[in-house]
Amino acid sequence: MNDWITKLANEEKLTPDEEARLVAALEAQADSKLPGLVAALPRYDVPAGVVAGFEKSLAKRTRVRFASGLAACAAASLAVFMAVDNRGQTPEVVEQASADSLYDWHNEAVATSVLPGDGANLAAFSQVARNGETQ
Amino acid sequence: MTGGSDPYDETHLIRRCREQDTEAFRWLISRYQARIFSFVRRMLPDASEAEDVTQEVFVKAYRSIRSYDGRAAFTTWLFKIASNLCVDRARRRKRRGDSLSLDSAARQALLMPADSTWDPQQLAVASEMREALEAAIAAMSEKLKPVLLLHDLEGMDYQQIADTLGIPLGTVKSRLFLARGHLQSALAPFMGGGDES
Repeated sequence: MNDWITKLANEEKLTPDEEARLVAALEAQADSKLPGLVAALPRYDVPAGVVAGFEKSLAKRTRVRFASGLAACAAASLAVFMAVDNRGQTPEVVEQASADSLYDWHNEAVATSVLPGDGANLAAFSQVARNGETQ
Repeated sequence: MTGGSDPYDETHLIRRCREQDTEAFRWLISRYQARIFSFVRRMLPDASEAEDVTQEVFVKAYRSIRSYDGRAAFTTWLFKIASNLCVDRARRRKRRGDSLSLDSAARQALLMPADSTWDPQQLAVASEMREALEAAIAAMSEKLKPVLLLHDLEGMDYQQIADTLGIPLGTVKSRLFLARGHLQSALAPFMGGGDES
């Protein structure tokens, strides 16, 4: 007699007759106005904390995004700055090359007696320079 | 006539929400917060927990609004988030099992036709009856409760409830029937008034 209700409680599959019986029983319940008693239950007042908590969560999400964007901008700015700053180093390399070549030239000139070394007779040097003589 | 579009039309608001328009989402919250909170509050026994979960519902909805494809009603989608979060909380607490076993009073109530003279207006007046009804809902199995609330309180149809809870249509019907049986049993002392037929 109660078998179909036991089947419902156990969530077992119903036969077509039992399904029809269930549909009829639901309609009877609907007619009883029992659903109306449930429908008449009042809505709860929403606590202010619900919306405030949501807004807080939203603000936190916005702050995280803002901080990420700011960090990205800072990194990009630093990269640009370093690139611009490094451009000033190029002339220094050129001057150093020039100094090396002048130094080398002087040493070579001394070694080949074109230029006087330390304590050399500058007058003799001048004569040599004018004559173009080399040793 | 499809001339101007109402900026507060739900479809319009949802489209704006997808574009991360927080003002549009605030409008949606204002429309649904009472319904969602009332549902969650009756699903969970603790008031502060219900408040947390309701907040979580809206945060989750905001974050995943782009996944809402519009095939189901927006209420279905929102209540789905709410019921899933409530189920998660209930599982964590493991306060009661998911058994649908009926006590003898409920079984008896289901076998008898419900009283058609019950007057919903009585509920508005008799706070004691309302308390008994709320207590019966609170004591209900986690499987039965959402079906009853979504159908009889929120006015969803069987298919909407099946989509919201992710259960078959037949299961919706059987759980609704059983849930109402529990209520009949709980309200029996308040009904009849001497009329026993």
